[in-house]
Amino acid sequence: MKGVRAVRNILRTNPAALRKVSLKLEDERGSISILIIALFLITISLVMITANIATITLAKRTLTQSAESAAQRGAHFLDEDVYYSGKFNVITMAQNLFGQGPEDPGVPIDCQKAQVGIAEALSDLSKESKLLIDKGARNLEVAEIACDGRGLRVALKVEVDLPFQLPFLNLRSVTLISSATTYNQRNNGLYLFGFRVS
Amino acid sequence: MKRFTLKRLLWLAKNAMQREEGSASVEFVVLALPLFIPIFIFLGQFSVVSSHEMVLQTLARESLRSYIESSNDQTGEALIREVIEVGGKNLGLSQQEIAAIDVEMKCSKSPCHQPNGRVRITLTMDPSVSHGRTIEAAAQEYFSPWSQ
Repeated sequence: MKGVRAVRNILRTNPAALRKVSLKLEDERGSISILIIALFLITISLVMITANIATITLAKRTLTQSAESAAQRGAHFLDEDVYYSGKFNVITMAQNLFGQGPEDPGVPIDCQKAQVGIAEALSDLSKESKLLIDKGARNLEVAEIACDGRGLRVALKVEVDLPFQLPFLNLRSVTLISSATTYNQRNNGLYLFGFRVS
Repeated sequence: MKRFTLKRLLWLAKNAMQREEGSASVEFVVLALPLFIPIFIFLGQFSVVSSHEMVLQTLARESLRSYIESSNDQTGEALIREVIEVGGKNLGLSQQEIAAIDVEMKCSKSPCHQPNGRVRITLTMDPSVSHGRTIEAAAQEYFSPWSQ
């Protein structure tokens, strides 16, 4: 405030200085530079945000694929006891003839073995996390494994460091969660002694 | 004649220096071009590299699925090449870019097609077709314990 008052006093006492200042204010030279520099800073910020978004998108895709791979590994473990219970026999054949046969219960998954399988798959993934998850991704962990004996859902969580850290956003990393659900389907056909005939 | 020309030239230069017409254009050219052209070049390269990375990720995943579903190692390898050719074309890669994709397979068992075997595929795109940057994508799968 004191500075402003001092400038005002100088201008009041010195008309030549006042004229010079007013001429400077009217002069338009350099106005484009200010605009361009402002625009440049905005553009740079937008480019950085775009690069961050692209990194997150790529990491999310890779994480989803990894979750899918882990879920499929889990679904490989069948619950053989449940699978072979209620086998096809003469009674069910007769029922089938009248259209009253049992419905396909689906292929059962052994949830405990599936969890072990998923853990192994994830251990392999994190060993190669630079390629399989993404560069700049860390702390890969299982967010959720949900198994109801028929279907299996795996959710993976990873933290991704952003390549550009903008001061006004105050965002250094992003936590991503991706999930994949899988279930087994019976391959219908005529099998004799374990070999598919048709 | 010579003196007159020099004098005239000096006058013209002085006059031009004093005039402000076109100064905005000069400022724009001097400042905007060196600042913005590198950004546009970077954006162009960035979009190409990102797009290639996404395509390679998809191809790695799909080619590995085809390998897992194939009956043996030989047909599997042929299928991988087929998926890269057809898939790459559908995803917008040029023939030169497709040819620049290198496939690397790692199996936990030999031959690969064995129950519970782990397969890892890494696709690498040659830097010559992706603005000097090596692009890699990988995928991992397991054979079913019930696979024959």
